[in-house]
Amino acid sequence: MDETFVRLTGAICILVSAALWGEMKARSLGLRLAHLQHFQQALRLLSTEISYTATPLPRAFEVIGRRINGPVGEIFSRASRVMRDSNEMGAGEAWRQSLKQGTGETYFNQEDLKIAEQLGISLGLSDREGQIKQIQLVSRQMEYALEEARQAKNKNERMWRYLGVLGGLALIIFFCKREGIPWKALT
Amino acid sequence: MPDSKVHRVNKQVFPLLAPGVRSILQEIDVNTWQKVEEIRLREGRPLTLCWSGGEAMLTSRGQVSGAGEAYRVKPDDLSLTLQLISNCSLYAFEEELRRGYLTVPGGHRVGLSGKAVLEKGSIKVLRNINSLNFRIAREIRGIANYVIPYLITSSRQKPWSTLVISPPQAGKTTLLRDLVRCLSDGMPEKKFRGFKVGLVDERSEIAGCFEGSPQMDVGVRTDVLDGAPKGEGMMLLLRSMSPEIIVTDEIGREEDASSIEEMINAGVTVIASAHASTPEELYYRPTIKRLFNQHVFHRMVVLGRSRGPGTLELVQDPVRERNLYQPKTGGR
Repeated sequence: MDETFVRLTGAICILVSAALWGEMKARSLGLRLAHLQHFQQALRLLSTEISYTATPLPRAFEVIGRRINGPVGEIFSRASRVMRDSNEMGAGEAWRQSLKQGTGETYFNQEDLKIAEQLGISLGLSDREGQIKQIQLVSRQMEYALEEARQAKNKNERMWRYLGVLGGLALIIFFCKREGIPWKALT
Repeated sequence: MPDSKVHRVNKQVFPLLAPGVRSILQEIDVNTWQKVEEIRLREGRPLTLCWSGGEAMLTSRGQVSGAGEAYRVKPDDLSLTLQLISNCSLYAFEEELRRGYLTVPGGHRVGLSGKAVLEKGSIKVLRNINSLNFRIAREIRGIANYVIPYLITSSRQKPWSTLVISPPQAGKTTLLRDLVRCLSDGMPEKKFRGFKVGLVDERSEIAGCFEGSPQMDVGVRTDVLDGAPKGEGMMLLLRSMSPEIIVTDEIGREEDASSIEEMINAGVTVIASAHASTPEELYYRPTIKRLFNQHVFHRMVVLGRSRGPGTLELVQDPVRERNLYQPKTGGR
């Protein structure tokens, strides 16, 4: 009786953690999509700030940081703080630094990060037209990443959830087999 | 007072320079800074300091050298400096990029040069900036003291309309600024009250406005219209600010002259400046000649560099054709 209880607990632990792992994987797909969407939204805001009011970047980034939730907004807020505090760094460098610091918090993959980094090119270094063009370029590339993320989510989200649960079950069976326990003994 | 210039450069100009250039300039001694008027950054060429009648190219350790060993300004130095000047947002300075300079806190001016982008035949914006020129603003209080007695006579309630002329970099703007301050504050010891002064500062040189607020002391009764074309600006101030004196820099265009006539007709004293080395040169300029023929200006102040920038060479009453001041030794 005692032994059965331990085994049962172990099995449940395996199942729950495997399912959670699958859930996490599935959720990261959704979060990546959300973060990419936040980023697109931020680019739109930046475009507006630059083209209509020519707001200086530190201020524009601060506004974006306040309007966009989560780690993406935080990247902009942090870059804004860096620009204000430093007198050794331009906007591009501040952006790259802030992006790097925020890598752990976002669900961007390497490709997404590369695109986001491109915003730093000529940031604050050209006239309005040049800035808007650069933002549009980044935004267009982001659109591809977004589409890819959307498809990955639709395709794989459910898969990861199933994979978690089924993987857990498979592990349990594997252990039962190895210990020579008739796995009906569990039930 | 001389130390304050070094202090100002330290506080106001250094934070705007790329760290590489800044560390070189920090090596320069105080005596050199006293005379420095310009810091020049040209892409791929030596870092240079300029003053009237001299210059110094600097090595990476801040020593004066020939062009060969001098520190060459890197493209990164330029772009970082641009970012620091523009608060990381060059696009917010399109008007300034079109005019080719911008004013920074402290009233210093940064001249820009690069590739001009045209629209309908006129410059729309500058791109690929490859030269920067920091002109360090001078604020010499008291320099107008020598001139004031010629502008105000006890028989008259108001100062005479005056034209200040000098070759470039001989202290026109500095004198004009101090005149504005004196006339606006008033001088009880010379027995005259302060006047309401309207200052049309088309190129942000006199008051050195940064984001609309004067960085230089232009007196308590001065209204500054920053960045407006002179002709239009004078009319605007006349309508809106009821000035007793209108001051503006570097007149010469047709619309400046007609606005000045309007001012005189409205009973406003005009104090202006123009580029010229001698009074005779002015007579070749039709607009200014016309103003003289109409007896607009009753005083003409000539500055030169014979004993350093800001030397008073001549004060003349062009209406009565009399010299009011002439150095005994004969300036030149």
